[in-house]
Amino acid sequence: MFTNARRFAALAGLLCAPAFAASHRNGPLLLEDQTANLNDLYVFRSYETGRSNYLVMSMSVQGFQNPDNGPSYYKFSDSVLYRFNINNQRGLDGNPDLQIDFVFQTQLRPNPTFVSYFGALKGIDDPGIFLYQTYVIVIRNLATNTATYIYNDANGHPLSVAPPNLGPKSTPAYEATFGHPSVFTLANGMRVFAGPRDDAFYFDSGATFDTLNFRAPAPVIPSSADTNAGGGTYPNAVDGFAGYNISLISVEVPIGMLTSDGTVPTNTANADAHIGVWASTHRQIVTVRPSPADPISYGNYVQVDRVGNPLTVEALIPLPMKDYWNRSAPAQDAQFAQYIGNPYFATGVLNGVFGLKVPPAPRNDLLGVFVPDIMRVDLTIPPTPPASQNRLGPLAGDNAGWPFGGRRPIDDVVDIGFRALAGVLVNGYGVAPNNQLGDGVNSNDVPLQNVFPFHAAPHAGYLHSQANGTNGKGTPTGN
Amino acid sequence: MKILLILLASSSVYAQSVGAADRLHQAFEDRILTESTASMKTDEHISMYETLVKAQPEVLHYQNLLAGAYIQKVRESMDYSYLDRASQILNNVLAADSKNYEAARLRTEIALERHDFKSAAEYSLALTQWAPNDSWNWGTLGDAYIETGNYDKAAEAYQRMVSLRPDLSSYNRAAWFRFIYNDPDNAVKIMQLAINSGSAMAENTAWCEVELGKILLKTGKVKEAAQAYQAALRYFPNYHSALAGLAQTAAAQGDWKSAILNMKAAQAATPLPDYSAALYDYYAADGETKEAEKQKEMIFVIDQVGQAAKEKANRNMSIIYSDHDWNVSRALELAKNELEVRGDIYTYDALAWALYKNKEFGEADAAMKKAMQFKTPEPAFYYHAGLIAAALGRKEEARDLLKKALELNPRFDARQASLAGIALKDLS
Repeated sequence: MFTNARRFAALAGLLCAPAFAASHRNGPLLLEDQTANLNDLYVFRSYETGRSNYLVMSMSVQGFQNPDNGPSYYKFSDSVLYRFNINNQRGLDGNPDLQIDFVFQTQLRPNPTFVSYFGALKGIDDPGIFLYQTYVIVIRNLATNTATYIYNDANGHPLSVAPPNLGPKSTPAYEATFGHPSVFTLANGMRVFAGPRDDAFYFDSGATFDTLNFRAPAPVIPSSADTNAGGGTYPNAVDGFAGYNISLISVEVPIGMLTSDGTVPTNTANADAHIGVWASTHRQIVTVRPSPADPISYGNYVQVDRVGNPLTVEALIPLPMKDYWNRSAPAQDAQFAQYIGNPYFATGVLNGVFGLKVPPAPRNDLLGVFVPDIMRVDLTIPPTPPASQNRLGPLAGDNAGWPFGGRRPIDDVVDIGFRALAGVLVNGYGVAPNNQLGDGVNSNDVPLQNVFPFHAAPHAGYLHSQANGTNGKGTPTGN
Repeated sequence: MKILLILLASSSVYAQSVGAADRLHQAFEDRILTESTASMKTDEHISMYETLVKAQPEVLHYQNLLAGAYIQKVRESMDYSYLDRASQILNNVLAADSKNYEAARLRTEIALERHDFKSAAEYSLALTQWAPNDSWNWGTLGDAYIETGNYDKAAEAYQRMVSLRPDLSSYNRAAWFRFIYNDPDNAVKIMQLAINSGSAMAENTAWCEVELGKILLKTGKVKEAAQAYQAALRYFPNYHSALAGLAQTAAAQGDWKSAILNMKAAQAATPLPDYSAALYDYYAADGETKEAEKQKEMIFVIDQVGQAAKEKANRNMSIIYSDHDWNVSRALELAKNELEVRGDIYTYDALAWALYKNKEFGEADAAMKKAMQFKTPEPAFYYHAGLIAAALGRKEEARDLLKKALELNPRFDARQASLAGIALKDLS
């Protein structure tokens, strides 16, 4: 066995790996935190029939999920506290008044295989669901310092996470059998959902990343492509997020539960007509050194990520300050205004490279939206029925979209943001070509739903194909 | 996704020449690239970053990303040629821009990998002043302190790290510190938090599972340890340390065939001398003397290679020699030299063990006391301490120590556990 060739091979390997290689403890240092990173936040008045007096809040985590990532699939982290923060007073100063927390618990059920899900599943209570997750909701009212814990829905059913969409054999009729049954109505009138969904975000990331090499004459899209319907309207524009799933946490809350005076506001001039929302993730501090005087191993929760608007300021913050930004509250965002009030993208690229006229710094129009970085919702704006919604939201007269009415899944935050950065919300700058900017991808790869939780069902693992070499990108895989 | 940033990031090429934009540029792309490459494997990262570096050699951020991917590759493969490549890139980046924060951060990891703990501590200390809010720097500072035996300062650094950002990186360090300080139950709990926190790199999570397995195995929870090693292999197939761990759990149950199979797989993935030594023990226990001898031969070849490369310090090799009473003078030399670069409890243990084998019992006793200053639940520590106490005529203490070693795990090592049993019998 120990031939010369083998010995030589071993030697060659060792010459590369010093013999001491394994003798120090090289703990990993994270370049990317998988479970606590928030992707998108959606907040909007419900446009589901008969539910316009409800506000929907959804946060997505763990982006770019391959639907066929068996056998483990994706799950919510048991060590992360996922939180919706609601600010409804003091002129939206970025301090929370109300918090809705989600805490997950994973149960591994007896299963003869290593496969997380096995056999044909009949419903959300099927014992074949090996990796079974439930969650507890905690509603905290910071004004009264009270907390309400919710473990079950109004019928006593545990709040369970929707299983992944494996394919037609294991999870047949996914949405009817697993998706919608995972929407739970709580005794307090709220509805909740947690589980995998299609990523409603759409964007020609490939073209953008290739130095704004848009498949339209960059970065202005012709009026023929500047439509409200259909994905990939401009020839060859590719939705880089098509075919991927995310994990979604969604709540639908009666608006009266969210306002400071408990009413559904009707006058936009009233203080209670506006709320601000942001999502955050938290983990517990542990004490490193054991001490008999301090037997408590686990300390307070620390915020590890947050998201407000789709133009997340996080990446505008320099790397040495990133942890600090993630840990801080929106109320302290004024200290970051220097990084936001004069975005290089506007002055250096739109103006410097493409010759667009943009408003001068400081950009108070941007600071008003992003400092503090919370999603602002004018609760008096009625929801727009699905058939009349416009991807450009307020820029096309549909005020129920981002950034006035919160943000809906349909909102083309890329084009809106692009144009906003070019200054279209500032007097005198809403002109061509500033108001024609866009990436050419105008809608999601699969149709959104008009009922809670609104995001489309997750792509099925079985149907997900990488055969065309696109790694799922640009390949709608259906349900 | 956090998208406009992606738009903004695309401006990075232009940003290169604009001073004010430079600081933006780094932060953008880190986020965008890692998000869009979240499902990629390390080799795919490497080939992508290599392409980017080739296309835009002036973008230092791409160079840093490539260096980071190379360092990750070292973790996964133990192929240290990647470390040299990473180091070269970082040197170039820092030569072009001495204030490149990202490169400075990565340079600390290179120093740690090369056991240059003094530089690692210096770099990290400077970085904690540069960016006191970045948890990473407190992590590398704590790592450097741990290896040099500066445990109080390590605890402070790790506490800063986990208080700034509880995640896989900080939890796993806190867990290990708890183990060193004889709190294995909470070490297990915190390591599970680390695993639960996860990482975009599968190897990172697998690494924590392996660490969990080690803690469980040392404290006698053999079946749970095997589960942790299995979990590691599901995250990161063919992971050498997980295969080695599985082999140890099989050996702890007397299943030599399975132990050999798994340890050979580990050895095939990475031919560490530790794996040869374990295989020697397993083959010997299984009556396959010829195979055992081949592994022994391999260990000596490895040491010859090390000597040819002027390697003077190597506590793992030292322990292998001491364990088997092979070349005990070389064992002592390797351990003594190791102490010059690091003063942690594991180095003191290796030194004490080598001194004992060289019959320098008084010095062995002093070194062993340092190794056991925190009563770390390492069965081998108690075993070594027991034999040293016995050699010095402290019979009752020796009995207690040996008993404790076997209480922690009656089969803590394929060969040494039975020797501990015999020694205990001799003392009674």
